[in-house]
Amino acid sequence: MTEAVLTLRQVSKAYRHGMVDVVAVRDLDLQLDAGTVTAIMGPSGSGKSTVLHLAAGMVHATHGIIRVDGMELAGRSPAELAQLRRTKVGVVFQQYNLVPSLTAIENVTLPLELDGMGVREARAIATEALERVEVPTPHDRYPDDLSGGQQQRVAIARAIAVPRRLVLADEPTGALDTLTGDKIMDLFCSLAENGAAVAVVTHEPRVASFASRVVTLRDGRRVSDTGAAVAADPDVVPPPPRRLGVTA
Amino acid sequence: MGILALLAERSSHGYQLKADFEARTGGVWKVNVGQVYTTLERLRADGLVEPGTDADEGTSATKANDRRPWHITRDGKEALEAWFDDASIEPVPGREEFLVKVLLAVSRSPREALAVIDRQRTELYGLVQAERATRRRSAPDLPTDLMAELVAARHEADLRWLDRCEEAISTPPTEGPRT
Repeated sequence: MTEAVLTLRQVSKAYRHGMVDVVAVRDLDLQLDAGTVTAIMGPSGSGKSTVLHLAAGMVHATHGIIRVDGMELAGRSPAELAQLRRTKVGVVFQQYNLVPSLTAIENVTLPLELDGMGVREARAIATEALERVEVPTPHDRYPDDLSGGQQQRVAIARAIAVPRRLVLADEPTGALDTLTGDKIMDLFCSLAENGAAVAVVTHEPRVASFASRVVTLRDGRRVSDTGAAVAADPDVVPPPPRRLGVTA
Repeated sequence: MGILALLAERSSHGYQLKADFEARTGGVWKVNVGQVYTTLERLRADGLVEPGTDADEGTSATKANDRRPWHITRDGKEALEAWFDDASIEPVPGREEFLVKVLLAVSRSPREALAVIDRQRTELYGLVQAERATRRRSAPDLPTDLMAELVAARHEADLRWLDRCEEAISTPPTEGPRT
């Protein structure tokens, strides 16, 4: 029995560039189930990173329905979406998005404390997460004092510090050597084995080999998918199709 | 030469050579014992190996083959060292069907080529996923692990090549230099 954690139904996203709409994602149907790791691949501009931003509620869909763990994202306030990310969605983006004025461990504890966790417990959980991704001690160094690979691992530790329903990672191993990259992918696999749905955007076939499913996008559409026919989430009724503006 | 390398470590008979060869090369390249004996006879003709004399008298040729140990000769050891020293590599990849298919599709039409690329990519990803899943489930010995790494690396190279094909097909041709 599959359990949908992320559902996109007929989702499109267009960005305004001057006088034209550039369509990054077009009429995309995608369902990610609990217990799976999905690699999202495709050439530059294929819309793969946009899919992650849509799923994280960091950009709004131009059209279509997005649901995360049963919650529809349309119409949610920024505060509600931020809370969703703190509690149910772990995100790792290419730019690491660490707060430069906070130490490595503080970057991990901040979202935990914002969610009401006590300082002592948050530090214990953050320390464990940093150890899981092998960030060397001391953990009270600032991002500027860490290598790119170490900053990447701090960002991953922040995303996985507490159990998440959905983990979204954009090129999470880009700054890492092969062995460390493999370990991170093993970690993502273990998160899935514990019930999360994991989506990893990557251009590396090696990274994708860890996934249980590989979805390839081109021009915002899915052009290949190693997953078997995916059952649609019966709770999500697709909206009627709508024509978008000028394409890229 | 693989058989010669095994015989350089210890004298052995055909079945043992077959088993050792498969175990030491990760179990991917299966050989039948008939191939082993054919190779041994060829190596003997070249003076690189020689059979032992402890096969039972009066047994059939096949049984005698099964039981007699083979030894590497001095010439065999020199040939083996020369083989290890030689670093030559095939300059072009083997003519695999999928490579030919993609290249021919590219010259038919971009649409057909992209469809072929998508199908081949899906197939290749299915393979690399299955291989990775097997490796995550088991703790292989070093030769098996290295062979799995080789197979994965080849498939990953093919996938990168498909990406490059797609990129080339999708990118409008640039104008050549004007004269």
